[in-house]
Amino acid sequence: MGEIQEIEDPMKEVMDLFLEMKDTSELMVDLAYSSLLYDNREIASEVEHLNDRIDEMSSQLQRFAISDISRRSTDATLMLLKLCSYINSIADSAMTIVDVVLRDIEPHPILKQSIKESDVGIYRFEVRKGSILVGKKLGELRLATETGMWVFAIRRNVRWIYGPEEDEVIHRGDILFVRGPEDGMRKLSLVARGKLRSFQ
Amino acid sequence: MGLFRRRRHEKIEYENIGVKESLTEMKDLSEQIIDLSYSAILFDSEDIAEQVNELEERLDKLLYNVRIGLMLAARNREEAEQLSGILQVASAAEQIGNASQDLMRIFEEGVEFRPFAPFFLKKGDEKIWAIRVSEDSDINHRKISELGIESETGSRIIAIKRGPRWIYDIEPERRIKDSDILIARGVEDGLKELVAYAKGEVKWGKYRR
Repeated sequence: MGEIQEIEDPMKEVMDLFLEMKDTSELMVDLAYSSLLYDNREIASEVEHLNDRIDEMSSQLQRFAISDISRRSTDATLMLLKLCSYINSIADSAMTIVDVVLRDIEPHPILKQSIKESDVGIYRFEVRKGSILVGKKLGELRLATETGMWVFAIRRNVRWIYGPEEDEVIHRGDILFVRGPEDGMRKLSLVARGKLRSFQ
Repeated sequence: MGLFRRRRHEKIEYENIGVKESLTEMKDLSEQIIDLSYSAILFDSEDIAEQVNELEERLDKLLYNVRIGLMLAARNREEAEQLSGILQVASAAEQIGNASQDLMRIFEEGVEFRPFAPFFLKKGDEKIWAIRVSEDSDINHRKISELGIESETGSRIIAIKRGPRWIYDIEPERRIKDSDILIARGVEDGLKELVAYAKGEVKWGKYRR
């Protein structure tokens, strides 16, 4: 393993940063399509905020690629710069999508319908009083296993939580933004409203 | 006049349905293509890169479809403005495809070009496989450490795809769940054993040496 150790050190930092940028860019696309589905300017402007985050992380990764990585390998630096530019294109595309929501013309109804009919749907649920979800950690609910659904954002009063961690506790009144298949959605919707006391 | 209007209307309705279906597919493809592109880079997989290229061709065709459909649909200025928003979304989805295809060009370059390759450095005849865990498998709900997958099969799990999300920090305490996709590195014999376990074809421990 000795020969691998040497390469791993500086790259670990790069990898962590890259993975965060990757997750953020995917979240931006998810939210961009959600903003169309719900014709929601608030979600759209959150995509703009995430774009600022991408810009910051991009600069950080580029700086790192040029200062630290280039001493080891010009090729690796070039590759990292290409990855940065890729992530920026994804972020740009998400921004182009939310622009349709943010501009002053009402989005065409076809946009909403087309996203509604997607294989992997985007849904949002309010967690109501009496639901078994209240007070539970996301991780212990095992939503992905039980329903195939994945919570990619939570809105709690005025606050947004993007890409919530497994130890995030669900509160009453939370609005869950969820991706997954339609049958999973039905089950989860009942559970969130307190109409179903278990996933079984 | 009335007749003409109705026929024109029908034609537009028909085209609009085409646009909607194309757009639905473009939305799904644009998300898939991002996922595949990142996976191709992280797991240094040319197979995955090829899938990216296929999806990009499809996105191209669909965008053309949407363009033509929309050109035929606008009847006045207000409609054209609304419809331009549809074109904007379709173009954004296609731009994601283009960028992904561009990124995959790096596979035409040498191995040293890929910074994440060292993480998954393949020695000699090692390979990286994606293995789906079946409901029937007895490795379900068990910890990686408890199973001792590496000593049992000689293959190492380097990542897990669970639903739409990826898990890269593979800690020994992590439990395997059914319908997980395990990204495993190892030699072919060991990987085949892991596949048999994951499919539930054999009981855990059968190949113990």
